[in-house]
Amino acid sequence: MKNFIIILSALIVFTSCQREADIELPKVSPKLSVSCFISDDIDTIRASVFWSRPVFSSENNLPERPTDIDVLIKSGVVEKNLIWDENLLQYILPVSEFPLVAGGQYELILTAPNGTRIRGNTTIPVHLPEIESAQLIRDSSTTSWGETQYEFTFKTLLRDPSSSFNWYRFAYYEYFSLDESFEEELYRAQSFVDDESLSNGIVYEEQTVEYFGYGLNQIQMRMYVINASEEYYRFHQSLENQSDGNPFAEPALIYSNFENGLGVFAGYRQIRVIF
Amino acid sequence: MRKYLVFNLLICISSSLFAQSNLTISGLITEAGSGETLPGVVIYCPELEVGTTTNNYGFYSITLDAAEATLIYRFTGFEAVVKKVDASTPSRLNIELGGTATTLNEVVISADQTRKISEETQMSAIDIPIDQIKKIPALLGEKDVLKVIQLLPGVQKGSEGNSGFYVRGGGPDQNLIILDDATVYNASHLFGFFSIFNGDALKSVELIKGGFPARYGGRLSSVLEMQMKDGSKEKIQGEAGIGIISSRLLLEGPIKKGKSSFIVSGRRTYIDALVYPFLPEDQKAGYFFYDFNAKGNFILDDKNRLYISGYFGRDKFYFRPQQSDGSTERGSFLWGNATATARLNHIINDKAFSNTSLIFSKYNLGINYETTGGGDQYELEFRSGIRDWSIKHDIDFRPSAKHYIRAGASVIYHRFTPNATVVRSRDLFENEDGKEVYDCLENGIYIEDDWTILSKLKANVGVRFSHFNFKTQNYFGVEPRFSARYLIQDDLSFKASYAIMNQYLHLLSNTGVGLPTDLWVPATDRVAPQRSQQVAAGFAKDLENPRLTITLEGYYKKMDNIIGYREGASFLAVGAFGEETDVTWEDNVTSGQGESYGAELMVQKKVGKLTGWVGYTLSWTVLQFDELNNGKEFFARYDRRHDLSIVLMYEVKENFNVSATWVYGTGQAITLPLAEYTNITHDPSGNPFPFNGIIQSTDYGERNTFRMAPYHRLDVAAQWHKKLKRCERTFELGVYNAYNRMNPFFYDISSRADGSRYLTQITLFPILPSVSWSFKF
Repeated sequence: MKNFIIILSALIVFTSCQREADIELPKVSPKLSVSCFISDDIDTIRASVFWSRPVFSSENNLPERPTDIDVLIKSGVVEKNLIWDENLLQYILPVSEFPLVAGGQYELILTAPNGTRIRGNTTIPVHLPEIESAQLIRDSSTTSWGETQYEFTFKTLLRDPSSSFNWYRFAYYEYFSLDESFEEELYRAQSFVDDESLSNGIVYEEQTVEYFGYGLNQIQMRMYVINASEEYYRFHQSLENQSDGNPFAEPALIYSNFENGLGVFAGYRQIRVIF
Repeated sequence: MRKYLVFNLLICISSSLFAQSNLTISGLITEAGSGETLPGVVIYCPELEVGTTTNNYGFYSITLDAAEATLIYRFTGFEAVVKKVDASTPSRLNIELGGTATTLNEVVISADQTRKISEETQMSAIDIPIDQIKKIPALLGEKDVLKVIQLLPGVQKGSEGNSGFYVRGGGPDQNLIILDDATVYNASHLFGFFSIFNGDALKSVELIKGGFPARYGGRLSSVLEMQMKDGSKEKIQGEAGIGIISSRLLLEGPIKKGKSSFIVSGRRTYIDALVYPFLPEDQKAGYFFYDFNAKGNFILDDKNRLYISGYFGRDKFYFRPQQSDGSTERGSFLWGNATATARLNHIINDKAFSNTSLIFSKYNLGINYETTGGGDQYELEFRSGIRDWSIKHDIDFRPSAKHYIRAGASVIYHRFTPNATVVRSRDLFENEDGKEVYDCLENGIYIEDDWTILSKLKANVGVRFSHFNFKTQNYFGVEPRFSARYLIQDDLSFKASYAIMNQYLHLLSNTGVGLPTDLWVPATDRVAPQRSQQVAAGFAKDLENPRLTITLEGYYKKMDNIIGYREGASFLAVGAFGEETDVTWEDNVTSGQGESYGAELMVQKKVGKLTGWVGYTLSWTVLQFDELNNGKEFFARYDRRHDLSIVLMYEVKENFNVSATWVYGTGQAITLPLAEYTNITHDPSGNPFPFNGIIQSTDYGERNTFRMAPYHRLDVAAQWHKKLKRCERTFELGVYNAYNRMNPFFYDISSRADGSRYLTQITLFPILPSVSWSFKF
């Protein structure tokens, strides 16, 4: 009995409760990740391309930002290659060489020297966002520390075309300057709306941003309303779902419309409102 | 109310009509010595091949189409009693089992006969004898009803050591856990490692996984019904136990001998009291739980009996370190359930019985935090919980031997408080005093008939109408229920069942381990109620030698409007713990659907020196949410392809028994990071490298595509009993995880010196011995 107790105690003491898992880990090869957004009013098609880095593999000698990818954009029988730009660190193509039109359907094909090939498709929406009304309400208050706090509330009504399902992204920016040139840009907020639940053809969006510090005449607020393709909408919304280190949060899967690849190739049309 | 009175009147009239040409015998069946009523006792007439069972209150009624007949009363663990009955026999025949009965014409038969599972209409139901629960090895020697439930086929356990359970692919919120008619919302102590049910105080435990009778409603996946003991009406007796983490005491006895009784039991952990004095001043902290059960049982007259019972339990984690600079900091995290039930049994006549219950149930979670020092002061109080008031009326009516009709109605008033926060601070901008309250009404009305259609064919046919109201939103549910058995041979039957269930409550949980922070919330105008359809079919076989029951069942369950957190969301983002946010829980959830299917085999032996069971489950559980996993189907976290449990108890000698359990289960489905990569968002202002626009992301592939290592574990225990002059004492030695299997609790990613990464497995419980000592007096 005495020996039994000694052996049992030793077993407990020397048993480690944390160890390397002896299970087969997922076999993952690096994937191409692409970010490319197209609209009928841009002057250059830009594609940012990266290789992913597998978590459990150290045998990856591919550069994170490859320069040797064949990037091809197609529309019907027309196709053109995007060229690597050393300054922008992107693959680019002037729209003058490959016109983009509202309602046009496009395909982006990437081929790596190791044979990896991915392709994604998108359509540039037909309609521009149709703003019924846009309003910015400014308010200010003084905090207990004597600082002035500004509150900006954007209220926007869109007329939504009933003939198609539509997705919208609202992006709010603040431009600061001391000389009214308003060149210094600060991104402030964004929101996403789809028209799934609409019954009257009107999209209503309200967003409030708070801001400390500068006088009202030193800042300018701008709002961009984007009529998004589904790919554009789902990609950006899934990125919004990424948690900031919250250990209890459900893993967020980032949307991609590239089979066997990552990232997005997405069409959009947008308008800007300056307040 | 008028409808109930009319219904009762109809029962009286129809009872008297049937009574004119038949012999009706009814009464209560109790345990000799204690007077404890016995549910589930089989009463069988061999000449006419008809039978019935006692209800939850020990009442039975059988109408025989004969002038004289034999009735056999049999119940697991008791010697069967045989009685000859005729026109001279009083229609009220109360029976005592297990003792020396003295009634005229009584014969005690030697065979230890039990309920034949092949004869029962109900399928997918398992009752666990309480004495078996006490013999099965348990973590740290703490006997736990829910851990035993996890050993049954069709029931998956959650994570290691956790008492949460998953029935046929349903979530832990889809189990209706009832203690003496009161719903228990969070059945766990110590962050889920122990259940709140003190086995000493329980009389019966039954789990129903499918083929739900119409009398049950409100949950999709299972009903776990537990009855507390009534308390001995004959003498004061008790039971006490000392274990590694807690001690317990139970006392029961007559208030007025033969007429009324009481039972009280309590349990408390004491690690905090032992450790606290030895902690450094700046690390003073502790944890404890306790629970308390009480019940009174009063025989008012020959026809009326009143039961009053209650449960109260609390868990508390606290810290109050002493700071050297004079500042103070203290906090606590506490949660617990309280239930109270008053039940009035009324024997309407020889064929009808009614029960009326008034029920209160409450679950609360509270977090308190307070700090002072440096001229600052901050106080936070967070509360969440659910509180129910309900009334329930049920009638059992047995107009003939071929029909057993049950009907009833219930009204539940729920008050949900997902978030009540009070923050007091010297900085007025931090002050907050908010409360989110949802008041709802849940109603149900049902009727069912256990109908002997032919000698070989018996069915339970019923329907339940349910209604739920939240503000102006009303939901209605029609829930047909059907189960039937066809006797292929005397001891072999084919069974089938179909049930629709509605659930108007949701549990928000993204840890999946049943933490007290899980929030109960109602169906609202934005979040629809859950709904399921389940069909099951199978065979039941009773073997005579060896005495075994074998069941083989297949099932398919479809679940709609089940909810889950949106990707990236968590309970920390729904305004909990005093965080200021406009996001409500409704914004953070998304609804989807699920389906679960599989087969279950159970071979059980309830009597003899060797008892126990072998249970095997082959199952699939697949979920689909439009907003999760890019809309694609994925396996639920607790999808488990194979699950095997072997539970054996052997009585070596009269004073010595051993037991062992071995479990094996396919690893849980989890999501692992596969790769990391860079995303660039679109900047509408035209900047190709936007501020905040370059985002490092993780590629998880698809949701839950990876499997943890299989889970298996052996537990063993040995019990020595010794009868002393005034009491019986039991010493138990147990070993949890006897061969020290390193089962994964969760995985984490670690880095080596060369930068490469690997998966770390964290195991919660290696081999753990335990000792406990208990005695009965």
